Amino acid sequence: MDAARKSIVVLSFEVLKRALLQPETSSLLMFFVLFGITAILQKNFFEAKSIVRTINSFAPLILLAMGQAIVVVSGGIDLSSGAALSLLTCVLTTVMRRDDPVTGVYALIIAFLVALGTGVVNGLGIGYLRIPPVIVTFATSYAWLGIALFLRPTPGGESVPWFRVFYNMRVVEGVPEVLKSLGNYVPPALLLIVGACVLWYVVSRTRTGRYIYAVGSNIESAYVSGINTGKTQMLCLYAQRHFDFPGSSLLCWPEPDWRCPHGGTLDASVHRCGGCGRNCSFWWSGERVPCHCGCAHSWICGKDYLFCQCSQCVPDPGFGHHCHCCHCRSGVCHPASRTPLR
Amino acid sequence: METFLKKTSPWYGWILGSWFPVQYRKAFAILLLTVLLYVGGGVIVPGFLTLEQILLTLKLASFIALFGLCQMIVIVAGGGGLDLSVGYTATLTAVLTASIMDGRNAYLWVALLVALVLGLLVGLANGVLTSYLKLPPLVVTLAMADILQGIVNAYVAGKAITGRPSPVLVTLAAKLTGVFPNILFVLIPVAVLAILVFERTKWGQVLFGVGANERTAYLCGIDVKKVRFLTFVASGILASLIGLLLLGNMGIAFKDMGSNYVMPSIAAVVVGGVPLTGGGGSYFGVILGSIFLQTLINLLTALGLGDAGKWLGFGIILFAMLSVYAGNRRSR
Repeated sequence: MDAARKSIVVLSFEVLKRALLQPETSSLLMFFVLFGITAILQKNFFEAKSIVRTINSFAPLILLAMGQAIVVVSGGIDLSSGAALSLLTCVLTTVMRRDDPVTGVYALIIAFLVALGTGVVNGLGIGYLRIPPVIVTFATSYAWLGIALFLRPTPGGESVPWFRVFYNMRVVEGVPEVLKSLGNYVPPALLLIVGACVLWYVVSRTRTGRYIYAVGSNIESAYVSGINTGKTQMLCLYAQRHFDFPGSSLLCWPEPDWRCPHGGTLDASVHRCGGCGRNCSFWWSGERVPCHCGCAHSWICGKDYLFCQCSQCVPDPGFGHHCHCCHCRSGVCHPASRTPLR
Repeated sequence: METFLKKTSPWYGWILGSWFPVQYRKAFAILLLTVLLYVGGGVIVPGFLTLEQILLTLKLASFIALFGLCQMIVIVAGGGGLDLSVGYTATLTAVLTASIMDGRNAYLWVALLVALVLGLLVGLANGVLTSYLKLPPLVVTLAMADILQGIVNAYVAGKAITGRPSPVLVTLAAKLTGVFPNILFVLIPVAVLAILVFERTKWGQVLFGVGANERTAYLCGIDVKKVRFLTFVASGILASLIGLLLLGNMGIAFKDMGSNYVMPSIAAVVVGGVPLTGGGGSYFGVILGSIFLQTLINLLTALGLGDAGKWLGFGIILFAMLSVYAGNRRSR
């Protein structure tokens, strides 16, 4: 009996040890610790509205980080993702006209094409011209930023009312009742994230997915094994924009006037997300670790609004220091130090 | 084999011919491009091709070149090395030492000591994490930059950044001797020393060796981890000292004063012909790369295209140039 008990204890320790050694475990542990601290410090953390606002605020960052993760898994990095997001947001808000709902559709189509274009240019540089990803995307980030500034030199722009569907399906007319009722429980931004996760799960189990991991693990071996490494890397850059695209759509409502340089500040956050989630294992990448934990770490670590108990207060991803409803003057956001944003 | 080499030879190889030293071909190509930029700019923009304009460009490029030295030391050692924390190391040094000096020469030595200690600490942390704990340099130095930014923010929270640089620093970094910017008196000895160390000392050979082939270097008895660790330490100390010069040039310290130099310094290294995989390149090329980038920015600004045109042009030209650079690797 004692021997059986002993073997159970040993087995339990072995299981625990193996679990702790998994890269996901440390990320998850850190996530839960930070989640707990935030929940304790922020009184309204578990209110439905607060949760929805937090999801909506960080959905673009999460989507961007997921896109970045694909590139990192393939052994690259994209420094231009923030600038590309700015460009897409500028394209959307330039094409859209508030009083003409159909312009929203045109804007989405044009932005989608622009997204693909930016991915293809990066992919050509990295996959076929063999320029280091850091340098290609550094160069293109300036180009995207320049185009974005051409389109929208000053903050502003318009957004069609139905773009609110990305935040709240109930408030938009013409949305089927089924979707509206679903929207009562699940924010659309979360659906986008779940959809992106499912898409990546499926892709990662296909031959293309295996190729991506192979190229990220050892590009030379992958090349010798007959994998078209250039094409695979280009495909990753191209696929990345599929994640940036919905992210940019989310940024167009309720604030279509996000400035072009804002994307630049998102860059660091996106890379931090990847880093925390262990996806930024660059030259020995290929680990199957979701970036969401990393994103959450970045989100919670960057919560300067942590001490703000204002129910309207939601942080800006990328900035961290400002809330949508206020500027924090003293570094600690509390009602006395708040001033209206506009 | 000869045909293969001809096919894969980059464009500047064709221009310069086989007689020109290989290690300086890229540098010479950059010099040619910079001259072309000046000549073209002089034709399009009146007043662009003047001595004052050239010297101003050299002054501004000096800071990029100095940060470029930090990057080059780390990059040359290979292992995917990059130091994204140099900007905030310089910023933190400037913010801390401005209040110490407060416009007095008497406390310059204290400021120097603070800069050395701060740079050493940052370099030690970066070096240990990347070399001994095997964490990716990009992530480590990005995180370090965040930490340093946080320290700067906490230090200046709720109060204005006070203090001024000592007059010696101002003279050294901001003033002119005749029409000649004094910062060049700093850059030139630093460049000569760096080139001598890289090309004429054992330490330089070891650095290139580790960057060129880590395994071979290890088998030759070189402590690869230690070498890479020391590169981060050197980068941290240099960045911190550059922070003092930046403070002298600006006259005041402010948040983000050094962070704008991070990416241009990496670009200067690449444009200057240092492979990001390590094991090659010259600091002379990095200086020319810095001058080229600064000239390009100046020209695009002088053309009056605004920020949009400036950044778009910068991105396109950089991309095009790097694509041509990669010509010899493309055929692989």
